[in-house]
Amino acid sequence: MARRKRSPLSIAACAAAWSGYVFLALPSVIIIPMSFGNSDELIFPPRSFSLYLYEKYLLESNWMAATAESLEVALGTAALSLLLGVSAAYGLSRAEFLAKRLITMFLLSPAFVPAIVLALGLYLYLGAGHVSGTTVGLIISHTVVAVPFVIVTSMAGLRHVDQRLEIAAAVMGARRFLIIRRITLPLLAPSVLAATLFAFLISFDEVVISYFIAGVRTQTLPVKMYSAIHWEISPVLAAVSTLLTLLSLGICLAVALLRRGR
Amino acid sequence: MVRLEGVGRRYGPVTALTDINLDIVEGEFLTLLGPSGSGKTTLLNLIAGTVEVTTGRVWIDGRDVTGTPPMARGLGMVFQNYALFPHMTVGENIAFPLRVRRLPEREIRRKVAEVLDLVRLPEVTGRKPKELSGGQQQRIAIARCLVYDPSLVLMDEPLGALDKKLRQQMQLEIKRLHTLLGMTIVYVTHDQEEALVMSDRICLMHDGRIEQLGTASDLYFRPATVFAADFLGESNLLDGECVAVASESLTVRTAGGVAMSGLTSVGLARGDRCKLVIRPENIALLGPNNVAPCIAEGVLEEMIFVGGVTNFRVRLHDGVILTAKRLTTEARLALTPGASVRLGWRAADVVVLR
Repeated sequence: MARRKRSPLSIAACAAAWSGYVFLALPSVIIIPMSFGNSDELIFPPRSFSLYLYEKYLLESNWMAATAESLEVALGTAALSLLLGVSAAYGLSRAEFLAKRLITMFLLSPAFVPAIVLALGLYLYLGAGHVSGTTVGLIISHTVVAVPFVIVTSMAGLRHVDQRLEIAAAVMGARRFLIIRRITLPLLAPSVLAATLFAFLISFDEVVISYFIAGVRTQTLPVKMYSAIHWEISPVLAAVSTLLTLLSLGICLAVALLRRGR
Repeated sequence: MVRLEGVGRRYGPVTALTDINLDIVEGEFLTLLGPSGSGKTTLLNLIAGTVEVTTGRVWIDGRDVTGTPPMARGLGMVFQNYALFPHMTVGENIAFPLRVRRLPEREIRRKVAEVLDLVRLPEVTGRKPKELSGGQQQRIAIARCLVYDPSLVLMDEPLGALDKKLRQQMQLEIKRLHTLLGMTIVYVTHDQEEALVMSDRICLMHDGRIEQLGTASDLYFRPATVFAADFLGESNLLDGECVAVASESLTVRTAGGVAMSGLTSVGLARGDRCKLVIRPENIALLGPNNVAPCIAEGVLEEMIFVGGVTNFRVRLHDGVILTAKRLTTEARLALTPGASVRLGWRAADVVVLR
């Protein structure tokens, strides 16, 4: 078979697309070699390679505190948004009630509101409730952002759970709660796990809202990074960024594997 | 066992069932038969409680269960797609209704083993449903339904996904279980043969109504409507006009002007338009010296040899085409289209309908 000839225009378009892609990806890629540098400045290319910056990250107590805070908030957010999001998705996909579409839109709306608007709103709201600046406040505000993703992922998963199985269980005498526990949730598990990982990641990466809500003692990792670049331009940033990239990559891979396993 | 009183179901503007009145006797095998869209599955779901009635009342075992959710009706159901839980083993699937009923674990193990023996499929307890063949999966679905001894079992086209041979085998298997255990079975199918093989009574459904209710032979030999005559078995349908009425038999002149007599139960009067139904297997090919109560002459149009039987399409002198179904013999196969033939039947084999 003759190889298909490509027109010059399509070659040009392809080249433009690739250079655009490289331009966008390059900053993230450059960070990685920088993170193995050996000095107290952010430079590219590094003059020699070592794990000095990683060591510094691991040994400095304020970086570790920020990491611990981020982990705590991300785990809390994953748990809370899972509880709310999966319940909401179940109700939305299994029950019939008035204004269902309107309620769905409302529950998904945080995904459409600009982060800065959400941040300001949450700052005022949580401030009035005296939880601004606390871990609980951070968890609540991250959950607002993560819940729409959990709802969408779970609803997609619920579409694949055969409702006839739930009906069969009901005819055999199982009450709704037992059906959810023994039939629906086990079959929904891959979607729920994917949703949890996403919620965790969304919280771990969140910077705009956290910047508004976080207090002095509750700085999350991204907030700490942001202030680091403002006040100290610490090269440890490169190491932290590389680790964050790895975490995101790992979670996305895990989700992709879950999807394939279904 | 089950009593339906004026039951109806609407889906928005669409009426799926209208004014169904039906009494199902304890221990009987009742088949809901009908083409797709006739409302038979809706009716089954109304009994199961998975669909709510819009009008009327449903009684099970003398208890008004209208508005009672399916989990509280205590019946068993077998689904067309089997509805086995894919994440559980066969053993866990069958144990599910027992666990729901909080039976002790030892009792559960004993009952699961017993019911697997009953459906003649032991030794698959540890396997997942998708590792089994379609026929085996259906046996497991039946086992899961029987394991908690429901006195009423609903079956929704349970053999629809199986090939013909396996289907016939499973029909006898289900009949065997019914005779052995004596529960009431309400069975949905669109396959008339299946209905005739299995049922004590058949409830023929059409357009959301009961077309006719009776035993297989009632429906086959005494169809009450043209739809019933046409749906069950094959029929020769002729248009005619009633010319003379006796107590149960009457004489009809067909469109082509031939007078025929037949039986009716639909109360026709002289001058009424009507339809005549004659089953092809009741029409004989007469030899030159044979006689029959009713005789018509015609020309052989076409012969269709389908193995053990042959269908003969004969055009009568008045233009009407009748099909006769006869056992295949070499002498009959020697006939050629265009030959003159005489057809004969008994007046009792002609059913006159409105």
